[in-house]
Amino acid sequence: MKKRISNSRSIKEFHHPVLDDIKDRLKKDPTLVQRFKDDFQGTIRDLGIVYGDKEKNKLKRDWQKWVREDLRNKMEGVPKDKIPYYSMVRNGKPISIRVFLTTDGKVRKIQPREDEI
Amino acid sequence: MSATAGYYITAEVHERLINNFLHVAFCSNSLVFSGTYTLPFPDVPESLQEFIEIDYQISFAESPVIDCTYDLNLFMRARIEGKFVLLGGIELDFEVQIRGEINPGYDQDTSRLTIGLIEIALEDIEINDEYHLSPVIIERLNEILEIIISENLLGDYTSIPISPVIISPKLPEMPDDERFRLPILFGNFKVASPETLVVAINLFDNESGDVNALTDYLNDADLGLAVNEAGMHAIYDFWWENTTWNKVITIPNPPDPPYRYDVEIPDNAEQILEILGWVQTAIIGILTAGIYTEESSIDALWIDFQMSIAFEQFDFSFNSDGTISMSTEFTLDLEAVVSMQVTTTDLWLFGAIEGEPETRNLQVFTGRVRDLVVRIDSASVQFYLNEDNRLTVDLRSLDIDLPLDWDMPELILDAIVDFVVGYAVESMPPFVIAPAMFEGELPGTDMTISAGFSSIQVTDEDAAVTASLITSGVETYAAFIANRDTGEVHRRVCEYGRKIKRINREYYCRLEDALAAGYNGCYYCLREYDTG
Repeated sequence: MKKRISNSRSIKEFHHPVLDDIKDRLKKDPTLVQRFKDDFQGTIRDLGIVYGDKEKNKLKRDWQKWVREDLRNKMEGVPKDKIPYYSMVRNGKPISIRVFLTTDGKVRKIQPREDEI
Repeated sequence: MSATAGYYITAEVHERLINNFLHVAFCSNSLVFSGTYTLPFPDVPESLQEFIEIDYQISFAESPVIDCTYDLNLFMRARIEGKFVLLGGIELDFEVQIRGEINPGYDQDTSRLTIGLIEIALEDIEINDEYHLSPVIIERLNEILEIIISENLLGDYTSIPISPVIISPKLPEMPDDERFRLPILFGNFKVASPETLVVAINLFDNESGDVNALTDYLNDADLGLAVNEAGMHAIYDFWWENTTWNKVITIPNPPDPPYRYDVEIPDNAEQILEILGWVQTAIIGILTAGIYTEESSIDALWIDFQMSIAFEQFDFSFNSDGTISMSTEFTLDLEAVVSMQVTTTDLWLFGAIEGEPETRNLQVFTGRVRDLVVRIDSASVQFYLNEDNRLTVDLRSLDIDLPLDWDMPELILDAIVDFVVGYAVESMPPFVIAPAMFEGELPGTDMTISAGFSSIQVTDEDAAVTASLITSGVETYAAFIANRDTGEVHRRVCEYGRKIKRINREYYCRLEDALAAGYNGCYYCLREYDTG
């Protein structure tokens, strides 16, 4: 089944000096849209924004870190019995699995109890 | 009450079963003995040699019968018939009724139970004297007959083999070599009840046990087998050390590509999907040209696995409540690459321009572990008799501790657990702790035999299984089938014999009885008795 996911919230909530600077300039001067579209790097240079490889990489790392932290914060609000294995890993425990074997040899996992997580 | 009384293994056999298979042996014509007896006269000239030699052939006139008596002894009753050829050509027929005390034994070459007479009494001797020999000669012949029968039936080589192979020395998944068969030796035996014979089996030079403490656990079943904990350990260690079973599984088999495991994307896991979506966004890398992905559609999610599992031997011990505690561990090498197929719509310049939807494959997680020790504990098991007629245990539940520190979404962890645990449990080596109760074929016949499970009894020191044996008519087994309609007699294996309608069949264990009843030999299978 396909699942559709929007990143609107995350891109709005993520802040970074370079990104915020560009967003501000776009708000103040809508003509910049076309200039960025025609020549992104040239426009960046013309505006005096320092955005080389070093800055790009830092921005990317910060974004990934922010996403990861945001995810973990969000997961904190999820009941542990909904995410038992994730909770065990986050708690530094081995993933404990209770397994039953059916008479035809199939493996059936049993949901861990709250106190086992 | 202990079924093993300190022995590694005990086997119990109902006298009914022994008698059924003695009947098969009788009908298979395997109880015929012949030879030459030389009268003990010294210095007989060569020209008179043939007069001191007595050729004989003896066979059972009917199925011998084993009897476990109420005073707990074991006897065999049989009627024997035969023929003497003496004095160079005189033929004398005779019949003898015998009763003998017997010992069960075990033929290691054939792995078959044997019945050996240890003392014999000739109850009735009848010589058909058509030649009117003198009473003195008849008396001497009786003495010779007694010697011949005693020598034949009491000698080792004439111990009577009982089908089928009971307590098979063959273990599964072992090299095809005598050295890798269980070194079974029969030890003490006891008549445990007026129907049941119990035999202690010595294994790996272990001869401990108290024969007097052995009891009847058969409960009217045909066959029983009990193994104590020490015996199970000895057999399992022997099997584990020598088995050809592959204790290491690798998935996939090199050089095949990694095993693709498709993950179903559930409806009710929004938070998990959020994770995937965000991480995917992080991987795509925003802002290199002022781009970010506004919307993603996950079309498929899968994990490419490469895995190797090295199994260790089970530890097990009996508990006081008759259950078994089992544990083991395996070493895991695992690589999991999580990928998605996504269709994304990118927004340029932070939302100012919307791009065309684009479908692409993304790797979102890669995890690798080496030599990870996975512990299996608290396994609960159930004893049962498997399709190889072997007492074994079935794993019912177990706890697995997988010390994986991959910070991955629950959905992915769940899939990894499914994959690893599923393969590990399904690929576990068998738990070989007992010999097979019997083999499914009856040597020398075209009959097969199977077990109808009767009972399992587990104590704090041993486990005993009993079974009733189901055969294709062992009680009425006959080597010859006569056709009342055509008047012909066939061997049991003759295809024309098999085609006879049941209503027209008459069964004979001995061909001479069928011929005496007026039947003619089949042209194809008994041509020498076909009189046209």
